[in-house]
Amino acid sequence: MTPKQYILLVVLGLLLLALVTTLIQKNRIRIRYSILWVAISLFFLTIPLFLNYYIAIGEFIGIINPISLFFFGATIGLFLLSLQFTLALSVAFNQRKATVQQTALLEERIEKLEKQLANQQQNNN
Amino acid sequence: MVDSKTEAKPMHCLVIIPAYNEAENIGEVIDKLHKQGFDVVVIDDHSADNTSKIVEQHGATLLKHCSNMGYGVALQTGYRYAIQQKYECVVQMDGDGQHSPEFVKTLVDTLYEKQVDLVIGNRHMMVGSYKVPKHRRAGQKLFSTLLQMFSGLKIDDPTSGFQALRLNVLKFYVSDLYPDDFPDANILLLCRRMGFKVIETPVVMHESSGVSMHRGFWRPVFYVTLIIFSILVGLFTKLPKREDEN
Repeated sequence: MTPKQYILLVVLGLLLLALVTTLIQKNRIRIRYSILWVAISLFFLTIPLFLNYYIAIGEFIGIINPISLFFFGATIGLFLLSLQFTLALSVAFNQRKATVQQTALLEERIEKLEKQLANQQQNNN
Repeated sequence: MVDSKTEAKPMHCLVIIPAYNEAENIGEVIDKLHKQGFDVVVIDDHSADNTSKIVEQHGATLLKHCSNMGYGVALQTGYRYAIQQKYECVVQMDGDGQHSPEFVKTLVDTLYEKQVDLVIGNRHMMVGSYKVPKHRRAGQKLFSTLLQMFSGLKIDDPTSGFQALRLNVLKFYVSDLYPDDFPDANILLLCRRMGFKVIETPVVMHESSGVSMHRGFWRPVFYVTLIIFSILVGLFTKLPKREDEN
């Protein structure tokens, strides 16, 4: 890796960390999802420290260029991340569906009870 | 198969109408159903027009979704309401005037007389129905063939949403297995696998007055692909034991 590539990765890591921190501060991202992004930004920042290890891993699986190893890892990581978000989205949809249906049924019941109550009060008067 | 106790008297039926921006036609549909003595519930799927207001003016029960959830979820809300209110059967129909309210009784009578669990209104068996465009008819034939091939169920109009269902089917439809994002020919396969008796009866259908969700080229292609995939998934879905068989 060239020094320019190191700097680029560190800058990218810092930007990502700053962005995630801001999102956490503004309560725009849930803690459970933010942990993953903090880990990714820390990974970017520490790449220069553990470069020799990454080169060794790359050689083990037949990838000579560290940048190619980085893209390979990133592709797999993003693929798994998409899968995890698809699952989370499906669960969230089912929960929203249950809430919307329950609200509609309860709203109708409340209106019916309110009408009954109004009729009872009229009869009592 | 069918609870014989319920056959002694006419069934207590509810008409379910999922509606999204149906202000133009919904009032007339409700009036026609009330004239025949049916209870009507309209599920307003967060319409932007005054559908809800018109439904209330015409005296039907209104269930309002607080956000737009789609046709399948709206139907399922109706099923939940029917179970909660202890109805014995349900007729589901569209509120845009495509399904003739005059044929609701035909569906209920068929359900009662033939002692089946699900009756599908078939638009192709009746003279007077609108002519389905060729590409849509081809899609229907494809689903029909797949259904017959995988389940032995012979249904000529598997995409018809004009149906009458018994309580046992409703109880299955409110489960998590109900494919609420596109309840179409795929749900018929699940019904067959559950052992429900499904038949068709002729009904008149008119051309929908609204904008079709199957317009353009890619939408129908995507939809057909999804239904085929859903049919295949339905072959392997693990089904629960039927409550009425216990």
